[in-house]
Amino acid sequence: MLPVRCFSCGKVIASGYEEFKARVEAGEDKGQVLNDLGYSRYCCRRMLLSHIEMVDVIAPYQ
Amino acid sequence: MDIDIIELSKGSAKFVLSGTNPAFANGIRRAMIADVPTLAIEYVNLYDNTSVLYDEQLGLRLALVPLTTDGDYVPQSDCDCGAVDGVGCPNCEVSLRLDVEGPKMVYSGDFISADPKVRPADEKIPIVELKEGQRVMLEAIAHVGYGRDHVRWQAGVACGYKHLPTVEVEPCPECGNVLVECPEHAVFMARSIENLTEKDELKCIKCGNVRHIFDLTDPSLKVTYDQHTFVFSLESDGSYSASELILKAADVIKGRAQEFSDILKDL
Amino acid sequence: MELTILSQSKDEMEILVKGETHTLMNIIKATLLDDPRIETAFYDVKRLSNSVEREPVLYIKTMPGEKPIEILKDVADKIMAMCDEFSTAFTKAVQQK
Repeated sequence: MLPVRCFSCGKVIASGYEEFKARVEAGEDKGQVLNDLGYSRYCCRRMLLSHIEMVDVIAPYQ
Repeated sequence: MDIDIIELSKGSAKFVLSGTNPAFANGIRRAMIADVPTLAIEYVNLYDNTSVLYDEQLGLRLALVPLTTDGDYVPQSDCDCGAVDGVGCPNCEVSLRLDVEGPKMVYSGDFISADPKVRPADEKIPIVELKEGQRVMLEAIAHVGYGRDHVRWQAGVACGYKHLPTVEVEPCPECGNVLVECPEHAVFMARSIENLTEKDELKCIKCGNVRHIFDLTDPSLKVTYDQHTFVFSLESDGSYSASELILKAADVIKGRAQEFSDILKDL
Repeated sequence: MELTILSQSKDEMEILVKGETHTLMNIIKATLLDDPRIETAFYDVKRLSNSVEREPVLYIKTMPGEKPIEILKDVADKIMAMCDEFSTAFTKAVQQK
């Protein structure tokens, strides 16, 4: 799961993740999507860009 | 003291504060980050958690969800009920319940709050993804706290200010050209002063690039800073609107000064 | 907040302001220095010998014949006035917007 807030500045970023994921999968430019979501600082941007979703990997072992 | 608002929305603000000293501006900035009380989940009673996150991870995610804060609640340390081990009274705590069964994504909006005025500020924050047969059932207790103790209570995000810069461009005495390489386009690149397209001093980030690149020791580009004018920019995490946050920061400082003065009178 | 006078003479005072931070102390210091009755003023957030936590200590030296504690009271009032001025200026700016 994506961290709720940005580690550095504390902005709530998790709420934009689903839109980010959907739009990037649809072929949009990542940087442009981040701009549209209002994540202007690079601390918040790296949170989404570098995230790897692990839920589906861990779920079978619960 | 004079304030000129550049932009103001629910979640963010940018304004120019003039006619005050740096200490007061910094006080406002520090108060917005650390001293404005907000509500956040501090205790979680877990009845069932079979999700992929273990209890502590889930607790942290819940704590970081910003809650809309109503002024009626008081911090437990100031409450008359004498709260012990985080168990307080309706004046100092709010209970939020969450009971979700998979397969489903749990959102912050799924909370059922005991007080309709206290809601997650953002309803679309994913808490955990539940697969078939997984369940989360818990009661979360929110307390009022301060940003200086933990991020969960930090109301102001990325609060900062800079002195108002003044950018003066003159043609270089040697070549007659102005060479400006400005990363923020505060001064657009231009070959001569006549072609200088735009000058937006609020955008200046005091980088000093021009001097490094062109080794300009002559005064063709002069950047000075007004020590008594501040360009503030800030964001709110959602527990207050940006303008409420700014006013509350001023109230916090006033309250402290009041307390200081009261104690001095008894000294 | 808890105030303890650590040392005091006619025109000097050292005062421990327990539970405060730079947020208020720096404003107090800056406002003190703006006052013509003050010769010098500073504060330091330091660890006192019998404590683990760091607390600010404010030092004031006044011009001859002035009482440090009276000036401190005036400064507290000035800071409150500054906060009110800020709030009114901000509310006015929001309304104009």
